[in-house]
Parts: sequence; structure tokens; C-alpha cells
Amino acid sequence: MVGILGTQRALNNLRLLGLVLAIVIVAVIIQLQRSSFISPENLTTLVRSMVALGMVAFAQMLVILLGEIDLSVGTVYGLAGIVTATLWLGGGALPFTTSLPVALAAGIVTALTIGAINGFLNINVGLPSFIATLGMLNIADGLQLYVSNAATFTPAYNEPLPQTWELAMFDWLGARPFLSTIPIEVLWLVATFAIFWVLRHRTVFGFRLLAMGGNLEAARVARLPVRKYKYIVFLLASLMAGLAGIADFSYVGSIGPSQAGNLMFSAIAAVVIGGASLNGGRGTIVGTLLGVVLLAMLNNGLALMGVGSFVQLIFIGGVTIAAVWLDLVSQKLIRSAGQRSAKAKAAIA
Amino acid sequence: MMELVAEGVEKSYGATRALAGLSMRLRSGEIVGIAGPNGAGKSTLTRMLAGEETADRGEITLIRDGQSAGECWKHVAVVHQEPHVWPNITVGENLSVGRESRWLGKVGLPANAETVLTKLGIQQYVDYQLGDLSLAIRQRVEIARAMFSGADVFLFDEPNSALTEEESEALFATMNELADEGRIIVLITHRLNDFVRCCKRVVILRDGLIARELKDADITEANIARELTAHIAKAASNQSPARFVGAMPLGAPSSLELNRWSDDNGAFRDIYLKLPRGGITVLSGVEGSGARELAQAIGGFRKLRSRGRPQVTTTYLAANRRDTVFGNMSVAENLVSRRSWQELCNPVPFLRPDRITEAAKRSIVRYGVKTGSPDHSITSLSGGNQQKVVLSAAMEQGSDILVVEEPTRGVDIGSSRDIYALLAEYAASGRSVVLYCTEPQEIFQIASVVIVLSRGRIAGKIAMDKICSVVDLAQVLAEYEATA
Repeated sequence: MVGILGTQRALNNLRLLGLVLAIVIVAVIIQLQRSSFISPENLTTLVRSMVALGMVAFAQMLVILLGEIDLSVGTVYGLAGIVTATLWLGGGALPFTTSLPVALAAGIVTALTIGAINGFLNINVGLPSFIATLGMLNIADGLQLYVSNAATFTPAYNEPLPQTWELAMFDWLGARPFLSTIPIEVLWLVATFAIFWVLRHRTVFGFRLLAMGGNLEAARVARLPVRKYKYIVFLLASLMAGLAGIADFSYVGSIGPSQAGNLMFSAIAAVVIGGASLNGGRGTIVGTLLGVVLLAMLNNGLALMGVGSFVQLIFIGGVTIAAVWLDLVSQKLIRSAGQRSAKAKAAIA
Repeated sequence: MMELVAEGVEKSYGATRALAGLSMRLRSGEIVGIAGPNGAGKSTLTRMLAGEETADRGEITLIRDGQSAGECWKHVAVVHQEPHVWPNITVGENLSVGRESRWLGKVGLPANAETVLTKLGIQQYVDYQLGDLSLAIRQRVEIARAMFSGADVFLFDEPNSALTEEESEALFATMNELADEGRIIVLITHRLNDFVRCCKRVVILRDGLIARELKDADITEANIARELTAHIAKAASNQSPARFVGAMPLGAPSSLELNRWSDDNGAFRDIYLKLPRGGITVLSGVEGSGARELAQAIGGFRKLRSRGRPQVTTTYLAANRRDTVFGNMSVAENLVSRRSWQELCNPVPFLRPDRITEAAKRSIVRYGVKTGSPDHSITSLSGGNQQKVVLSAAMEQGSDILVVEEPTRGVDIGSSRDIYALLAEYAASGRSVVLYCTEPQEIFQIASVVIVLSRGRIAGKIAMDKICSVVDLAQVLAEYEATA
């Protein structure tokens, strides 16, 4: 089979094609049920709903590529927005307020700090990333409740009202429409996709991450900068979560402590549906994007059909399990095809 | 002209003195063998050469044209038993890791990769994912990486313990080429025959010091073996090593009859075979002949095409110790790991630590395991003793058939003998033992019956009562293995 199709890379692409096919089938089914699915308004909503999930998932993919995991991204998303909102608008537990740019910087620095602590706990202290980031999940959650006094912040109706230039700048972060009705937040998704695709597939950084995930011991023996790269990856995961939180704050127009919902689980699910292995060493950005599309589409379609959010959850859980099982099966097929072809080559030689 | 000079190197771990002031000189262009029983300091020396350990005292320097070449480990490449490469990327990408040419853009092959790959005979696999390729090829990729890094010293650590005869031959050819190009080559192995085949000089380590140096014509299996066991048995082996079991006629009463067994993946087909009661059946054959797979099938760890397995109990031990030892548990826990809960718990369903210790102590005495205490971690034992532990745990099950793949892989000669004796004793109790091994010396010592496979079929059955010496056996084996 490899003989016909070229290398295993071709087969891996075939697997991605399968995912695309699944997306098309789901789209057709939804469209048959609800004709409003493929309409400019709904497609805008759909793409918009992928923004935060995609931003978080791309960075999470790099963490998973290393064989680690970052569970804190959901609450970092909330904390970055909350810190920004509280510093800018006041009304939380912080005794002073600042202008929007300073507040934004503070939100991003907060996210980066959590990423650095995640890295420190995992790399220097030697905790498994699962435990380190599980702890940080709770710490960040507690912090956002503490800082915000569990309040919800809405800049447009805040007392006192922020300055006009601040509101305009805030609007530019995500809510402002460009090309008629598409919110500018979508550009965040496009930009992150492009940046992470280059990072993963066209830089030495991404290449070495792949190697480290495949065999950490060999990477150490080859004297690759394992610790530095791990730090960068944890920082990226938190940074992207923070940026996503701020962008969503702008788009939604308000932020409260429970805004993230099950963002973290969805992000991990998207990465895994996209063909990444939780053991590390396998994962692509395009795959992750397709995972994000599938999840967002299911959410959107099920909401259109009005099945209710409970059934929606059950459905998405089932799809995640099925997708990963299919990946397992196809991976086995790809491997055995590769082995057979290598054997055939050895026999010829 | 290069020289690797070690002078008065000492290294201790706690109270154990791994290296006790070792001095030696290695010159470029020669292949030097380093032999020694387990615990002689071979692995410490390896790690030190690779820069993973530093010496307590003394120094290792690389001298090139009369000048020291800076930090020695930077010029040393180790080729491991389990190659340190990346199974999840292609062969070509494996070569690039750590020496990518530019930061942005597709990672391509390093310059002159083609030449090196062609030289090693693996250029046709450039685009294959490494995980799908055989161990021999993975090893060649590691060698290729070492050649790229411009290493001057190549250290081969048990490089061919899992390679076929042909693959080993090719590896030795590569080693010779590297030596001819003026590099320093060090070979560490348990297979004495390899020293005879490639080395002009063999250094014998014992207790962290060089005990003896053999040169040219003095390098024979018997000589090296004598040096290695000198401290254990004064009664050294003569021309023919001792045999541990009696030979058996081919028609002896059997505990299991294989009736037209075929592997589900096609590794062997249409096997008719009787496993004699009270004897040791050795399955032999080159890698890929189906012998290893047949052993696994008898042990119940490989799918057969036909359904319906006969009702006998079997116990199976894999070749790789990583698949047999519970590295996270103590010696005692490993010893009882295969026991039923009734043995460990009765009458209440809770673990009884006293019983575990008691059972472990009995096993330690009975199977001659050398350990400080049953509570020590199993990883603190030498390879030979770890093997004894897993073997005794397996034997305590008392199955009708005991299947062991490569019973003495990575085990020193002294422990090997103990293991042979244990296997012979097990068979003598009226049960069947099935082994997969390929070393004529080993087969000579423990086989009652030898079955040689070639291309998935039985190429020959050897009744050991007709065989008088290792040389005879090796000849017969080679003939059968070559059967098309």
C-alpha cells in the first residue's frame, strides 16, 4: 500500500482526509436537519466559536507533543480576563485601577507567570505536569474568584464609564466587525493558526519538540535544549490561554469567573481527535484545527437542533471516544503497512 | 594518530568501588574489546567515556597529534544495545536532529547524508518511519548519527545482542571500516566469539581494574572464558563445556504435541512437533526464521491460525528483561509476583506481608539468588541475579511447559551456569522446558533436543546424543539454518 501511495506521510495525510470526511458528513447531516446551518450568520457564529478553543488547542498540542499536559489553561483563560477587567474597571478585590493598556499587560503577565510556575514545577521540581497543572488549575480558579469578588464585569455599563478611547481599543481586541459582520476576533484564530503551523512544521523548534516527544532520553543524549524548550512550551500554553481569555472578554463584552466553561477539556479533546498521541511524539497543527472544527460544529449543530446542553455534552463525549478509537485503529493499519513495506524492501536488497 | 588515555581512574558509589584506579591506552585504527564479569566496572567505564559520569580521581584524555583534544566525551559516540534514536520520525529526520541547518523552513537532510547512508546500506529507508524498521537498522541510524557528529571514538555497548548472524557480520564490517579510517573503536559484549572475530586486543576488567590483556592469537573463546570465570571456578572448562541435561531420543513421551501449528502472521507454518517430558527442547534459527515466534506461540503469547489450544499450563519469559522484571518492586515482590492470591492471602482476602517475605526467602535460598535482603530493589541486583529472580518466579508456578526466550541474554558466565542448572532441574522433575537460543555453546550445554527453523518451517531436528562437541553442533546448526 505504501508502494502505491508513497510513504507513510501519505497514509497519515489519508487519515486527516478521513477526519475531513467525518466533518463533511456531520455538516451534511446538520444541514439536512436545519437549513439555517449554512447561512452567513450561522457560519460566522460557528467560526467565532472556534477562536478561543483553537488558540488554546494549538498551544496545548505542543505540550501534548512533548508527552506532557497542561490542565490549567481553562482557568488561566478566565484569570487573564478577570485581572484585566478588575484593574481596568475596578470593583474587585484590588484597591486601585489603571488604564486599559496597563491592565492588559497585567493580564498577560499573570498568564505568563502561571506558565512559568507550571514549567518550574515540572522541570525543576520534577512534578508530573498532570499534577503541577492540576494544582495551578485550582490556584488560578481561586485567584480569579478572589480578585473579582465573583462579580461580572461589563465595560459598556460600568460605573464609572471608561474613557472613550479605552472602549474603542477594547472593541478592537475582538468585538469590532470587519468585512461586514465578521468579528475581528476571527483574525486571532487565523494568525495563531499560521504562527503555530510554521512553529510546529517549519522551524527547528517544532522539529526538536517532535524528537523530544518521541524519545526524551535520546534527545538528552543528543544534547538538545530539553529544559529550555519545555519552559517555552508551558509559557506558550498559558500565554495563548490568556490571550484567548482577553479576546473573548472583548467579543462577549463582559467577563465573569465561569466564562471558560469546559474549554480545557474541549481543547485536549480537539488535540487528541486531531491525531496527537498523549504519550508524545505525534501531533499536527492541521489535525488539531480539524479537531477544533469538528467539536465546534457539533456544538453549533446540536444547539441549532435544540437538543439541549445536557444531551450536547453526552454527544460530544461519545464523539471524542469514537474519534480516538478510530485513530488507534488507523494508526495500527499505517504502522503495519509501513512494516510490511520495509520488509519487502529488505527482501529485495 | 590518536590515543585515548585513561590514567588512574577511580569511581565509587557509596561503599562499592566500581573503578579502582584503572589505566589504559587505546590507539586509533584498532578495535579493542573490553570484557569482564557483571559488576567489573564495564558500564561505569562506558558512562564515564560518554560524559555521563565524572571520575572521582584520575583522568581520561583524548590525544590527537600529541595534543589533548579538550573534553573527551565530546569526541565519544556510544552505540547502545537499545539505540538512542527517535522511532516517531523518519530515518532522514533522525539524522537531522540536533544539527538542523537553519531555523526556519523544512528540515532537510544534512549535507552528505546520502553518502553516509549508502555506506551503511540504509539509503533506501530514508523516508520510512524509524519505528517500523528492524533493530539492526535503528542501530545503523545511531551509527550514522555518530559519524555525522565527527566522533573519534566509537563505543559499541553490546551492539549485536539482538541482531541476527548476518546483521552482526555487517556490523563488524562497518566497525572495521571505521577503524581503518583511523578511529578508535571499543567493543563491549557478552558474546566471546565476537571478540575473537573482531578484536586484535581484548582487555579483561575485574573488580574495577585491568586484570589481563590478551593479544592476537591469545584471543580465543576458551582463554577469555577462563579469565572471566577465574574468580568463580578454578575447575575451568576443558575443550568441551559441561552438559547439564541428558540427550533424549526424538520419540520420547511428550507433554504437548504441536499438530500443524501455523502463525497468524505467517512467521511459521505447518509445524509438527512433540515436546518431550523431562527434557529441554531448544528452538533455534536466525532472526526471522520463525523460531522465536514459535517459542512465543508455545508460551501462549502469539496468535495461531488454528483455534483450539491443547489443555496444558504454560509459563513464558520474554527475552528482554524489561518485559520480565518489575523494576519498581523489591526482590521479594518480584519473586512472588506470579503467585495466586490464595498463596499470599488465605484465609482472608488481604495481603500477608509475612507470607511474602517467607516465600521470598525460601526462593532466594532454593534458586541461589544473591541479594543483600529480599527488600532490596530488584534493580540493585546484577543482570544475572535479576534473571534468576524472574526465572524462579516463573518456575514456582510449576506449569507443564516452561518457555524461556534467550535465557542468558546479558548474563555473565557464572550466573549462566546457575541458570542452566536450574532449567535442567526443572525439566528433570518430569516437565518440559522450551528455550529459544542461537548460541551453539549454550545449546550444547543445555539441549536435549534441538529444533532448527528456517523460513518458517522445521529445517532439522537434532538429537543431542549424536553430538560430541560444540564445533560439531555449530556445523550442523549452520547447515540447517541455511536450508532454503
